[in-house]
Amino acid sequence: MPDKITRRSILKGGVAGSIASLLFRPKSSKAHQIKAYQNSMGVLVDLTRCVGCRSCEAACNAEQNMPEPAKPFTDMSVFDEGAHGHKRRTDETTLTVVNKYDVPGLDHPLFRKIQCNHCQEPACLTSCFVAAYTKTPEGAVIYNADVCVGCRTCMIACPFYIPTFKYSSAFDPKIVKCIFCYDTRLKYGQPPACVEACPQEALTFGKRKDLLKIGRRRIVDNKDKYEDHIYGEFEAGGTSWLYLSSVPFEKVGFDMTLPHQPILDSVKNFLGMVPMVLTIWPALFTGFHLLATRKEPHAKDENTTKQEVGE
Amino acid sequence: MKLFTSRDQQLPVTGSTKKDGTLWSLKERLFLGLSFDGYKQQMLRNPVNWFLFAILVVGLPLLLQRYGFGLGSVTHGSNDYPWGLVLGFGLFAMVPLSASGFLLGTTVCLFGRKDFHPIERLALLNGLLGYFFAVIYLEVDLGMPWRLPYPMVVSFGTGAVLFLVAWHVATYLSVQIAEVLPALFEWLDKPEWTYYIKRVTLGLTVAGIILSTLHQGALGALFTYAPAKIHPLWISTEFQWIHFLCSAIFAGLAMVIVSSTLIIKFLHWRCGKAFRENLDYMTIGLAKGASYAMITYLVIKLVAIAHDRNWEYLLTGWGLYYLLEIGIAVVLPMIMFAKGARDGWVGLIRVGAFITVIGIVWNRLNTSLVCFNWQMYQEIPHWKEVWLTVTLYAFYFITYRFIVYRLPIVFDWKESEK
Amino acid sequence: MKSFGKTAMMVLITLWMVSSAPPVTAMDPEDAPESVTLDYLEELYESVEFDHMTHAEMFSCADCHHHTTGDSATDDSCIRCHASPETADDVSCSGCHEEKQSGKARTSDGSNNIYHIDKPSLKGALHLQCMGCHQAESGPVECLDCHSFTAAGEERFKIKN
Repeated sequence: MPDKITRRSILKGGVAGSIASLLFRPKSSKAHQIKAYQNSMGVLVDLTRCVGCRSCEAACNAEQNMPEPAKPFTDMSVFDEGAHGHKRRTDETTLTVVNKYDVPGLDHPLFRKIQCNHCQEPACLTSCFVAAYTKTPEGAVIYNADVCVGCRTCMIACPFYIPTFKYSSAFDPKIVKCIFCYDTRLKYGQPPACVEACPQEALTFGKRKDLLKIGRRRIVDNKDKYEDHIYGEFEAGGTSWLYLSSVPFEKVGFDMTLPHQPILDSVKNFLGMVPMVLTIWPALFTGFHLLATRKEPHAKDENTTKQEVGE
Repeated sequence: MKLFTSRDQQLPVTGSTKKDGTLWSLKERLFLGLSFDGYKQQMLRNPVNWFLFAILVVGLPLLLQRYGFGLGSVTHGSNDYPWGLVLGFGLFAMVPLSASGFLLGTTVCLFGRKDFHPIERLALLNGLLGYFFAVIYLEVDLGMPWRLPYPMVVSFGTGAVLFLVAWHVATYLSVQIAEVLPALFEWLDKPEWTYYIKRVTLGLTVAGIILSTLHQGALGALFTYAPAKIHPLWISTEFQWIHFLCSAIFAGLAMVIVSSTLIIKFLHWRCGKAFRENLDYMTIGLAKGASYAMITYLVIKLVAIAHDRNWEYLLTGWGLYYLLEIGIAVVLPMIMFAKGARDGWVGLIRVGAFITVIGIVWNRLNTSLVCFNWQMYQEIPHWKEVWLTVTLYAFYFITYRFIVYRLPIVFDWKESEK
Repeated sequence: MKSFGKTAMMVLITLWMVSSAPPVTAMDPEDAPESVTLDYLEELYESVEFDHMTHAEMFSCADCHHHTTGDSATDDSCIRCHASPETADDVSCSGCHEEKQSGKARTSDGSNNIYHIDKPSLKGALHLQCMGCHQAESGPVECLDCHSFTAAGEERFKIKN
């Protein structure tokens, strides 16, 4: 009679549950600890200024020792190269990319630089189960290839499609993404290589909170020139890289459907439920077991019943 | 094998001793009581083996290619679709189909439904192998498979859903091994070893429920990291984990029906008396449970649409596709289950279970691939990735069959019978 | 430490200097320099000879300069502080636009310079000014229309010969 209910077997069920809850307790409570550093740096990208010279791409390539591109950075035919009917994106050989947009009703194309936006609460970071990502006080979201397992959840989670994976490598693959030139520049208070290279000053480096002021100022001072919105102020919980545009953002490839909360917020429904399951389930199901199995084995043996009641 | 069992009175091996009282040696047990030549003969006679062979001939070199030249050599290496078919099927579909272990464990052990006992071990095995192979699939898809234990020992991303999945799947895998071990011990003539496991059965079962609830739900919650990438009809940040958990219930039950159907049909010689005689009854019981889970699932799917105000999407092309999925993969088999359970039509239930299993795979692939990046483009997996996925499934099939052939899963070991 | 070294190498633009005495009248175009050598980007690019005279003949000074000698600024924001002609002595671009791009926006550096929080660096100011006009007036706009690469520039842009 392995299923005879004794106090001990109930305890066992409870103990298993308690062990489980002890084991997994930190999980949900630690979920929301990333602080938005007050003095973190950022970059304001002004689409009205960018002329698509690709100097930023060239500077990035040199600074980060990326592989040599198929075409020189002076070759503007790459703007037509995107795959699957979409514009170019970052991949394992490029950390930043400039794309060209022909906007109806505008006599000149607009250009948009993409790179890691260095979110305030990065989805890549919060989704990483080996804590390979770090948001530094300077604002950079950096990556530690030494602990990465290669699950690529960060790529799923990034709302901007930025992290890429070095699929070509069997023995040393890793995530490849812009790190705000953290190691070589940002750490020492210098702007990233792309910003320094930009001839048009379409990229402005500064404290994020100041960039927001500058952005608003440009919108106010140049009436009708800008959309009244700074992309990245709120998107996905706010990003360190901010964008100004003269046309509606969706016309230059920005995702305007992104939630204004950090991506993590949409996961919290589940995370909040975890401790409840861990604490309630053991008692609940052991209770069910008691209710469901009491009658039959006891009915036929009165001695056992007495014994059990007596216990 | 049918041929051999009809020819030789001693076969199949159902206990530790032969008719004459001598013990089956381990080698004989491994060869199913056949001579080496006989074993080879039955292997070659089976057309399924030739089919498996054809898969492996191409699949094994592909597997080597993956490990020698990287994931990019066998997949499209897409940065837009970081999770391809290998994970979409191998993890997201295999795990719900393996919920059977905890479901039947709960039914038999926790709710005391001894009438389902003859199928419990099959359900536990189905669960164990499903999880084990989900990990195998993961090992193929991970960029650095040699770092699989990192989330356990090196670096802890405690706030991440995947951290929870990793720990729970690992823990639950151990729980399931413990639950299936008694069959191995009996086969090895060491029934006394099961003593300690039997003592903690209830604890294991409760742990199984907790772990299953959480990681089945967590697999759904993983997709809530991409709320803007998946079509709104397939992602509901509030309800995703309940959708995945609830659908795993009928997926697991349907998978046991499918598995038991295949076994009773093609491995009839292997089935014990209790299994043979009670299977129809148990199938009806499982179908009943599955249909209740399905109606619950439909209701919470509906609640999710209402809550997220996604009604207008139902009228688009994606909406029709959604309704098609719900109709074929859930409503149709639900009706078949209900009808079959009421009128005792086991055949109808079995067809319904096949549809359900395919339907769950369909749903998980829809969530992870088809409706992922719905505003971008469709990723059609590289043929090598498809073949690799099939190859791993062939391994799963071979392992499954190997164990069912030998261990007392669908029959009772003679010495252990009371 | 790798510093702003690159920019430090960039030699300041050699522009004309106005006399220290405040001029009473505005400068005529003929008084302005014929040519300006822009060589502060010489790491990647050869220096550029800017034909000031040609531009001065085709456009009025105020089309490019915020103010001209002897006149006060015209921009509303500038006038608040720079109303007197004295502050307008220096009409060279580099007189106000620093060669280095500011690493930090100025509202945070403790000064009260609240009106200069978004002043472009010299590089930005020149490019924005030139490109803006060239785009509008259909002047040359490609990088290599004005610049030619140094060896380092060709290396940077991965130009294969």
